[in-house]
Amino acid sequence: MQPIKRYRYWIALALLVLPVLVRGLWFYQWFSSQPRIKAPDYAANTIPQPPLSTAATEPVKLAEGKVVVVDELHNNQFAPDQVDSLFSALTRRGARVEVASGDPSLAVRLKYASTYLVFSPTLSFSTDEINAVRSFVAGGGRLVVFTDPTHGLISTDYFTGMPSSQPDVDTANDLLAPFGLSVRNDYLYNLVKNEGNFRNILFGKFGSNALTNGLGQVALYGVHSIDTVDGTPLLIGDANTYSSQTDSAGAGMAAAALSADGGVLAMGDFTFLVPPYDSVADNAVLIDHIADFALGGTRTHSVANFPYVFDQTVYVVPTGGMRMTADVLGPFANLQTALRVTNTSLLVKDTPPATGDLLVIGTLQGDVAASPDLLPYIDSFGLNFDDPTTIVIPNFGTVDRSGVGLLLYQHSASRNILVLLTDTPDDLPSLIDLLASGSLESCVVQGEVGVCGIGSGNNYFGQSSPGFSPTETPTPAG
Amino acid sequence: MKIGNWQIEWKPVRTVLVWIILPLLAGLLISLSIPRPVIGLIYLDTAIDVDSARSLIAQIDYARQHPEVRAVVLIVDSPGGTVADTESVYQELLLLRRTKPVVTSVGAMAASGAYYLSAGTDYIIADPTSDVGNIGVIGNLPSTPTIFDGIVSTGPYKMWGESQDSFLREMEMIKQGFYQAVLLGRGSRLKVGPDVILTGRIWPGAEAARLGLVDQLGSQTDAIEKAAHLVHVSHFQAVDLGLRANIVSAASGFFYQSPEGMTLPYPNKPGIFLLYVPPAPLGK
Repeated sequence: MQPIKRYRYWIALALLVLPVLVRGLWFYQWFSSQPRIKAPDYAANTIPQPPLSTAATEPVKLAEGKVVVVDELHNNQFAPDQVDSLFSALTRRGARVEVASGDPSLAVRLKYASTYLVFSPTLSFSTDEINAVRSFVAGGGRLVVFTDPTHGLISTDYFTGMPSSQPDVDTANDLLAPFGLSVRNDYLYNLVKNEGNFRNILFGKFGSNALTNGLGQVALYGVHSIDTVDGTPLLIGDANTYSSQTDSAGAGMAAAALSADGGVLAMGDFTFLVPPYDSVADNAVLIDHIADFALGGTRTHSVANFPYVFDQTVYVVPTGGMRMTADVLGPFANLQTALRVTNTSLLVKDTPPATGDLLVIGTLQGDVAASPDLLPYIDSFGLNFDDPTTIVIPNFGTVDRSGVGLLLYQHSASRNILVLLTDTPDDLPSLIDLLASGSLESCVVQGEVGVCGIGSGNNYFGQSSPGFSPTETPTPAG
Repeated sequence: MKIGNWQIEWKPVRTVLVWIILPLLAGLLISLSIPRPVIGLIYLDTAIDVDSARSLIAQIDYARQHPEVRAVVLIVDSPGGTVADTESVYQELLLLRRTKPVVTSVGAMAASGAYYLSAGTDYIIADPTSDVGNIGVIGNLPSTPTIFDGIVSTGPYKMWGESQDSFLREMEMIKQGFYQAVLLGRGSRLKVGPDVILTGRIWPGAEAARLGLVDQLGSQTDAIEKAAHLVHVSHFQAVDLGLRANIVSAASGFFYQSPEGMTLPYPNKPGIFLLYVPPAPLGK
């Protein structure tokens, strides 16, 4: 007991501590400490603000009297008030904006339009419509097609209730394909530098064109990318602008492009036209440029555009001693009715007035070249009447006189003149009726010359087309 | 003292009793005051809304207040939820982490707001096929402000809250906070930049580990072991803090209920969310 006595305090202390130590070490092998925890600096995060415009506003270029046809025939996914900024820019320039939602047909409207605007179409264009648009553009009209990934058509299956999405690109591409443009079924995004959201793209790189003159930065809001083979990409994304289709940037994604012939503009977005986005960055200047582009075309004048070949009172001028017989008066009455859609009136005059448009009627009987009142109107066309059975039309070919009607159109700043020529006076009513019907389907129209089969003479109307030997393939645009 | 034939001397007995048995007993008694370490388990298996956030915060608070809870494992299977509730829970997690480590165990999904919370923990373990990521913000644009005949207010946005444009920009600001939380939480472990992170993609756990969004592939048990390892404890007990904190789970009204009684994965009310919303089955 002696050792216990000597170390009793130490033993007691050890025995007191031992269970604590054992239990402590049983559970806790070592101390632990936490690293310094940092919290996000929420106060430093600010709401991104839209960039301001840096471009100078340009004076308005007037384009009085031009007509802009806006497509609403193809289940277009837009509301006119959404794109009012563009409509305002067009009307400020003196143009008339006409929304096409019913009769007359697109082909008829394009006869007098300067511009055809299409927003997110989802109902297919017919082949005839596409051909009419091609002719329209070939004849100097301007086509502007806006698509938008946020404006596709969402519909629900009647039986299954399953929603389905129909983007606008397929329909738009039918229209754009003839011009070497196509819209991708994608949207662009930029996670690094954007306008408040990844899908709102800032464009600072521009293709060289009047449409992009003076632009510093443009913001588009949900945008398809546009492909062009030989056209001009106009708004080009930076290296961080990706297509949702590939999740890659490719060789610079374009959001707008101009066709090689300069007559067609394809845009991947139109949300930028909607307030307040129309005033972000240089968007207002871009809208002005689009309006200038839309009204910047010069329509070539073609007889194919009848009845929209006149723009003032039309005076009927008979030549070669022709009389206004009962056979002719009926068709003229029809023609008068047809011209009402153009807000022009038809008057008969024995001598040509100094002002106003002219509708000259004549026949090929006798010595046409010697007819003093007809010759001034047809001289410029270079027609050859040497053969009594045929007519030689420059750049067209040789045409039989029999059963054929000629339409010869001249446009100048002061007046429009349309000459109607038939082989015999008996054929004239048929030709006038054909003209009054507005349909020149039985005519071969080539620019300012139209050759129509009217079925009298040796042929029957409606069963035969004019006999001719073309020297050049006719095009609808002339 | 004599007991039967035995003659016991009192003095040595007293010595043993006083100097050996009593200290030992006292030591044993004192040692019992050393608590068995607890690894607290906090389950997040619903959307993050006001109810689930309240429950989570109560459990986090319990873990902070009780020293025997040495570490916490956040067991996540959630598509995220509202912005405000997610950020509230996130801030509480950061407070807890000042003293105790938190490990995340991802079950089926840690998407959007649920990943926001996960990024705010010390270590993330996921199953190889867990859905991880969806970093970003989603919301329904408010209606275009208009006025009505019978309802009057004192400002153009009194009825609508904000314009569509400012709503969109506000989302971007919230996204910045989210991204910052991910950067702070993952630090140098993150192997990809914003061009990948902010696409909003959901990755399987294995890919998320490769990108640095999670630390390790493993199970919930691995997560508990990891938490114990971080605080150097053994022979611990894993305890559901929801039970300890007497949390009564209430039915969440966060998701939209169809008239047929089906719960759809879309929020009941419009707003801004840190939420993974599965796309509607579109035909084309």
